[in-house]
Amino acid sequence: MGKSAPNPPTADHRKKLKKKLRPLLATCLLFVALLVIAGKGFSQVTLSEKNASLQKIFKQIQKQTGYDFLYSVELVQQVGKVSVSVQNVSLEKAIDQCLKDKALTYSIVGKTVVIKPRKETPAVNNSPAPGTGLVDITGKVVNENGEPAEGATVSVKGTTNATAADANGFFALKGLKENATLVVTGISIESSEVKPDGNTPMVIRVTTKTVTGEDVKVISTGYQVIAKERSTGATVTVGSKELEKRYTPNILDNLEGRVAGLVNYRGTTTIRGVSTLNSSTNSLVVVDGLPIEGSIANVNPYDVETITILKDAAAAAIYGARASNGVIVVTTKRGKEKRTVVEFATDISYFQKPDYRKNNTVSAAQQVDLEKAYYNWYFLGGTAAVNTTNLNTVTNNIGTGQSITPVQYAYYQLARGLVTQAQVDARLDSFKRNDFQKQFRDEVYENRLQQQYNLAIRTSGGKLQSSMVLNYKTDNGGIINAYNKQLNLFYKGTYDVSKWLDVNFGANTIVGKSRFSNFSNTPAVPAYSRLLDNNGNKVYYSTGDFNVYNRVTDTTPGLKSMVVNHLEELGRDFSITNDQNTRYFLNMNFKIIRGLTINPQFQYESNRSDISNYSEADSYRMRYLKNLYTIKTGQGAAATYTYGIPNNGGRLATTQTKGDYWAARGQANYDRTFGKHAINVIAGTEFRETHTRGTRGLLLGYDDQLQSQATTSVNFAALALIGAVDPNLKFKTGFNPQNTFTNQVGNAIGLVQDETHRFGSGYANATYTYDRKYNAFGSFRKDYADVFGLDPKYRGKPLWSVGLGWNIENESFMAPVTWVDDLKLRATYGVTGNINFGATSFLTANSGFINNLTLLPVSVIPSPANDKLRWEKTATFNLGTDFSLFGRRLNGSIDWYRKKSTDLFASTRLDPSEGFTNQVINNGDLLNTGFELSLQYNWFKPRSGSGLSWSTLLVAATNKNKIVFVDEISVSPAALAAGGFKIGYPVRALFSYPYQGLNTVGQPQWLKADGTLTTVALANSDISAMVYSGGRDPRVNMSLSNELVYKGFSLNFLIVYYGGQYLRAEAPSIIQGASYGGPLPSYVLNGWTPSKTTGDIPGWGQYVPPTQVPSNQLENSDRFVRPGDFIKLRYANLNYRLPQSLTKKIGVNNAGLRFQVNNPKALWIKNNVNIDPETSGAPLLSNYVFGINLNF
Amino acid sequence: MKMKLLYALFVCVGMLSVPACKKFTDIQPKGKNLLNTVNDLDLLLNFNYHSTGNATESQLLYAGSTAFRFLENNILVNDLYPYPDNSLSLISSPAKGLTYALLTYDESIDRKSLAVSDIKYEKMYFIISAICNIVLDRADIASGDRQKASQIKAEALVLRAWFHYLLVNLYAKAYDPATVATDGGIPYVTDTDIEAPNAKSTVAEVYQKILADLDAAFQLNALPNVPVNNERAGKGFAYGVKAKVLLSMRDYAGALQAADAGLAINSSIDDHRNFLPPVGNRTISKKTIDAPDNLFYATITTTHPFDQIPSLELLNNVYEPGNIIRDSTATYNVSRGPAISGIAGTKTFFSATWSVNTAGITTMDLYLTRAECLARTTKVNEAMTVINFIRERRMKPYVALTATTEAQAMAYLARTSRIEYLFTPKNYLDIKRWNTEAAYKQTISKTINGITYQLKPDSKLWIFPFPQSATNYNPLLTQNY
Repeated sequence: MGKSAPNPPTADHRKKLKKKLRPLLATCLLFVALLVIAGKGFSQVTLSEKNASLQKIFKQIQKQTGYDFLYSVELVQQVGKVSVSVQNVSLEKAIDQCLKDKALTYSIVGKTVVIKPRKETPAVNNSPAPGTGLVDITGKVVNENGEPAEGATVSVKGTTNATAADANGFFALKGLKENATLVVTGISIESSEVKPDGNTPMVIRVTTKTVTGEDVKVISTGYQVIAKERSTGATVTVGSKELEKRYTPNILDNLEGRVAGLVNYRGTTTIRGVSTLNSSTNSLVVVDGLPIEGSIANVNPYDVETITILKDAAAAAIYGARASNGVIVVTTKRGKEKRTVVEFATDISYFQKPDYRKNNTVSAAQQVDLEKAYYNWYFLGGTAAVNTTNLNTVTNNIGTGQSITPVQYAYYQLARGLVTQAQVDARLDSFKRNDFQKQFRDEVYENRLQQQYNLAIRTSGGKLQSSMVLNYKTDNGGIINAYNKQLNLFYKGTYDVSKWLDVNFGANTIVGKSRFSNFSNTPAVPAYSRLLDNNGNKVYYSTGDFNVYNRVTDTTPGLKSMVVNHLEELGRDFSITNDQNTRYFLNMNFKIIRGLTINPQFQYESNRSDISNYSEADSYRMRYLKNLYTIKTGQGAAATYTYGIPNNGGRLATTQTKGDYWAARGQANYDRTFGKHAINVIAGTEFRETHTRGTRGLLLGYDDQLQSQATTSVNFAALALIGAVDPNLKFKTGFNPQNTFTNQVGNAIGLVQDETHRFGSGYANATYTYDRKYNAFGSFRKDYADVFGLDPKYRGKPLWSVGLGWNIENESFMAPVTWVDDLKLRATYGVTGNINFGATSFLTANSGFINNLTLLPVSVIPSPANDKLRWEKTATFNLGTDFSLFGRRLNGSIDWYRKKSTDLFASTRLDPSEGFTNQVINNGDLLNTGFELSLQYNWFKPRSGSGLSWSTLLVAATNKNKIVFVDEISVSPAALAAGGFKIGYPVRALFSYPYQGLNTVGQPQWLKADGTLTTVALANSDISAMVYSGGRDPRVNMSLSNELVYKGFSLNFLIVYYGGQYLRAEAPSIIQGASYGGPLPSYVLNGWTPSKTTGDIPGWGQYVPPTQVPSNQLENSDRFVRPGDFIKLRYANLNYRLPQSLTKKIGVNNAGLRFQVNNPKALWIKNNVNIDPETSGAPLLSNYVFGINLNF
Repeated sequence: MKMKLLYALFVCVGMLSVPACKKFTDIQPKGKNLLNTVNDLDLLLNFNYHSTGNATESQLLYAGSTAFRFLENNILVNDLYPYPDNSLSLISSPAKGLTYALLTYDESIDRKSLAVSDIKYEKMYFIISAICNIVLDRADIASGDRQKASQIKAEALVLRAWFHYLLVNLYAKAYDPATVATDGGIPYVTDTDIEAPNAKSTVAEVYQKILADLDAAFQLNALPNVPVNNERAGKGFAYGVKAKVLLSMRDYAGALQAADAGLAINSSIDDHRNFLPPVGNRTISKKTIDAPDNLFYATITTTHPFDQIPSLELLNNVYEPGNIIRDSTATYNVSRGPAISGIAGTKTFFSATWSVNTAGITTMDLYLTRAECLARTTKVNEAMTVINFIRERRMKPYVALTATTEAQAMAYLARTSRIEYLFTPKNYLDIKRWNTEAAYKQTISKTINGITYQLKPDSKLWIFPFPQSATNYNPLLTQNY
């Protein structure tokens, strides 16, 4: 028999709860464990030394505690050797023991122990030339958290004597006057002046600037690291400090509001507008120097040191043929401090459940009323006379297994006289009390819980610096029976082989596993159905494929039941995706002669993805498939059944894709300063290969538990031929299963196209700086790729750029202008490229077709050869300024760009006698222009490290996108409305039909080119009547972020504005009647009726327009284009950094807590149809993040 | 230090390898037919010339297209009424399109402005340029069996000749020795360069080039007598093309020779007496690609002309009394005709098991060419023998006809061929050809809803406009009417 009765409930709520709690529990345990380790390992000191130098002892203590020691060697050597023996004592006690009886004392600043002479010792102990009054000073610059302020400039006021603090914050200055004043400046710190306190080494405490975007002094382009001062390009670098203020699982989202010109709208990220018609619009992602093929979503957000966005051609020219869409350069963190640092962080995001009431659909009760009115008319014509045609149609539909709604069935029975009106009314009343969507929300949706844990261990000591990062993400998907987990393991090391060679190497493995249901999770079930009855038992209903009133599956022993319940079905038919991305890299740095380094790099990436779609034997999909191919022979008790699809077991469809990628680069760098001249030159070659391929397979009769399958027993050829007219089929009479066969069986077996691409390039660039005032930059490169074929003239087309920069503040005439701290003008011009993999210059034919009459293989040439194919080119002119004014209170940059893209791949029409009617060639031109402004102001600067500070960052960008030329291919209004191109308009423009509302009989009408109205499709000659309704991309986006810091608290929030974009939403469709499925859209309530003839919404059901409305014309009408402008509070969060006095007691260096709200209700939305422009429907789900981070 | 220099040297060499980029990026894509071998090219010739196919194919193969339906030509010569349009609505509608012009012979309609694109034009030139010319361009350099290479070249030449022959007859004047040297023709495309516009040749030049291609094909001496299937060209097809071309050029002796050579290879003919009871039943059927009378099979669908509606004039006056299909089978459906066309008394051809070969060649082309050549060369009796041979297999009852003059024989031939060529473009080709001769020119007239429409032999409607998709992109292409 094999008849599948729906299973009894299996859900065990306790188990579910336990599952939910497990990750939380794990975090807590981990947290406690770390505290224990920290308490034991980092605070207690054990020493047993006899006649050892203090230096040696300090080193020991440093190893045990992680505290750095700051001292003058001479001073320490003066005091001679000591003997000390302590066991498990505190740091302070241990040092006391060591310095006992010595002329030394100490203080602890942050994580540094400063050793200084006792007061009676002369303040300055080392005079280079006695009697000159000159001294040498060494010391350490630390920030308010006691962390070293790397790169801070320490200079002697009024002189050119200056130095920079190293990675540990140490600095040394020689030959100071005794009463000299030190000035400490830096891009990321507040400038300050200090008098030497007489101690050497001295500790200078500085305050970190609460600046966004500008806190980085160097720019990493992936190929080189260059001082910002010397750069001429438009770049934005965001450092980890900034990024860590906000938690976003995807690092790209964290850039919102920080980078002018980067727009992340509706899932697409663009930098300075779309610069192509048909090719990829993805920005190039570079991680630690080399482009990666994996997704940027896989970059561990906790492990990012800096992200640099290269916006203009000079900055991006280094990536040549792939840089037209901008370049995102990610640098991961590395071990910095000379000790082991352990960082732990976790963020847990809790999402609201989606609110179905915001979907702009009618309620369950309204749905019943609407259907009631419709079916009363449909069967009874509004009077008592029964419409026998309709009655017969429905009788037939029930018999052939078409979908039937419960209200429809009630009226069908009424029309047939089987029930009374009162019975129908009672039944409808009970329907009205049901609310399927609410039950679905309660029982099927879960509050989405996204958890991410990160553990980083970094050491730097001796010749090896290591960084080991473990990241784990888990997500319940917000629905039962689903999950998405990912483990990311990253090791990165630097080994100093010798003075002239460093080696960097690393391996990154990302293993992901996700599961989601293949069964509809936005159920197309009438809103007045039930998921559970009053007693909590499952209620069974049909899908739109069948109806519950047809008894064939009950009366035919060979067939299986066709009813479902989502709670059950969501667990029976699911897809599991296993991903594994690994990346290995090795790069070497040879220091050949002073200033010259040679830098070979190699990277190998391997991505594997394995998708298994398993439909269990009892799943709806299998029951349906088996029923379709069950053939009955004979009648009555003698009937026998043959099963086209194995009667036992389910279906396993798998897809395996493999991607292997490698890149090799050899590069020479030369960086030297000769007096006032500074030059930086790089030159190199790069080779890359990408190779993807895969297979798709199918097992039928598969049983996961038994590990059995029966695929070989299936006669695929026979199944493929079963059509609608097959008289042997008893299920769904008249239904043609051929498409089902193709989708479920035929297409599940096959190949994922094997594709290999290769790129080779040679490049060079140079920066020259004169007197720290004038910068000149030039780059040149040649790129080759396999997609470009025949004519050597077009292969290796050179791409180049030039740039100029002027650091005005370094001019002598600026010296009196004290309110200007930094002022720089820069200009660049350059050319970058883009590739379209679909196009090829070779003449090839597509193979794999079969001539269905001769059954012989056919090859067909899809497009003519084009030996003049070349890169898409984008030439960008950028003019910008960076400034810092009023004692660095006001910082910012302004940029203007003009980005002209030419040779874009676009279809051009050909004379058909050439064999083809169109061809993709380089013939489109596009122009993007825009302004970008980034302005940051510090309202309050803290006097001390813990004082109040408040800073505001305003980022604004405009973009105007216009097609300058394209051989316009849209000759019909329909093609234009579907996304056609038109000169003078944006690439992603919306062209709409000029809707003129409804005529007196409720028929929608449009304006034709000659000014008359029509109710039929606009002809090609009416294309001029089409209306431009705006572009789909934002033209302006602005964001305002604020940060308030007081003591350990900081409050951040970001308000964003996107404006000037449009979208089609809530456009009515012609709804013929109330069919089986989800609730009707709420606009039907405003539809045309004979008594309500105003408005733009055509009637539905019995009032549908009398003649057929041309397809898509209503949906693409101008009146249903909505403005997409909105203002939202993107996030607000409160971070709390525990005071160090407290954290130190538990052995933690830094501890922070975070509470963050993402996407609360929008502040303002321009459209009046209650849709969120970012989703075209219900608002983005608000979520709350709770985070902890610890540093040991 | 030594090591250091060694490494440096190693890296420098690496960097100087820019020229290697070019070689490095020379790779062959997988999943593509690179057209380097004879077998690769052979796969191009397996083209689906009938148009049913799956969705993916349809895009590439122009299948599912209406290219080989030739409904416009059928309407023009009053063989068929428009389908699926309602003729009465077409006439009464204020929107007057191309179909209206063809239905009512309204010469005032500006056809070239309405002809935005033309699927016939696109598909036939696709076959010429993207199949034939590619094969001819590469066969000599492709590796593989040389005999096979010669064969595919010969096939490509014959196909190129045939589709140019159809094109020139659709878009230019019929071959008229008096004016042929100056009559505008069509581009005869033999190159694979898509940049240079294809110049329009005169009708005379087109015919010369067609003959040259056919001669070249025969000279290769590589065509099989009978091809592996009927969507591949064999010698029978080549003779068929030659016969039709020479007939158009009024070279009756040459055409007769070619037709006879073709018939020597295949002389099968359908015998409709098989549909008569007790042998058959009232349902007729004809095989598709495997029909024995096919010399080359190219058509719209395997079920053409399902539901097409012959004009009342043709159905009632041209069909001879006793025609088996019309009078003795259930082929013509009474009820659907008026429902579709709006014209009372019309009937649709209602058989899903019938396949007319529209754009290919069958033995019927050879028989009818032979008959005309004989009639034109004073062999009237022999011509009538051929005509009666065909009629005998079409009639019940059958009465042999006799003729004494060329004109008489030609009239019988015209009536017979009109039914034999029904649903194909060949009636249009023949009538257009005969209209160049004073003796055989005819005015076509039809009556719809009491109004009579007439098509004069010199009407410009006989020449179809080049579509704008061609004229806008080929500066050398001008209309021929």
